[in-house]
Amino acid sequence: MPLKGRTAKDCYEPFRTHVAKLLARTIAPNAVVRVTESGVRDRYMLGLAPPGSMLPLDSNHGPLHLHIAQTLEAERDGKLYRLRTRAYWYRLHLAPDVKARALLRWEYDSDKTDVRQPHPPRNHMHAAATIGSGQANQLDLNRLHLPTGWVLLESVIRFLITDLGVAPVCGNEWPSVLAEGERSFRQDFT
Amino acid sequence: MSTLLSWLRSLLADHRTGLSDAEVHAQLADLAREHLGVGEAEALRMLRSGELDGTAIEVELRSRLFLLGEPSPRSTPPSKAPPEARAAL
Repeated sequence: MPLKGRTAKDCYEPFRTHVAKLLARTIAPNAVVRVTESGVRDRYMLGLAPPGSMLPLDSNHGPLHLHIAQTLEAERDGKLYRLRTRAYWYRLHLAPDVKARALLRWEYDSDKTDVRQPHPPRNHMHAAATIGSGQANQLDLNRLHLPTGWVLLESVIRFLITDLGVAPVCGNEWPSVLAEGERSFRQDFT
Repeated sequence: MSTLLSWLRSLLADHRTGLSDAEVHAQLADLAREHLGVGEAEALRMLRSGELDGTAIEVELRSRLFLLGEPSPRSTPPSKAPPEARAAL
């Protein structure tokens, strides 16, 4: 069920802790996860500190860098607040350069909900690649919105470990750590 | 009563600790200057034009626009696939 609390902080702080613990136990023991508050609105941004920083990863394909961020909203629900993710960005970069385009990116944008307006899939991914044959049939995957389901951070971490060979901090316990994270997310935050 | 007071205090505390719009704009300006070497207005123009799509600075700027309550500029406009590719899709 959605996380509810008497204050907005009661909502986002457990979620921030969830993300911080997950990263610390799997791929980034020193990650600092922050939530920045809007002074006058129930809007928040969750990301790594300092702003624009990325998590360095050693993979089978050399060094990679993970950039994660979410925007959150604490909606009034009677006397309580209910946490809602308005957008997420999970991006894999070759270098910790804030101006460089990501290799892979998984994104969600809840602004794309107006059925009267044309919009690409809300949950989608991009890749820094072009596929197809011949000059005319090239598909730029950096511009196309490849539809996905809701991508959990746990799923991205699973991909990093199983497909890219990133060594998990928790060793052989990583499957149970990710399973617990997924269970907690679905039970406590959705 | 104490529960109500506690709730009211926490509500007020939430709003006291949050960033004001001016502080968010200051962060936008700092990000623009530090990472792009431009002012806030130029950084937002670059964001809206798609020049920053796929970069970390794009996310940092968009997050702060969200805090300001501004609609997210459209990210990565739908691809104009060539006619041959459209036929194959």
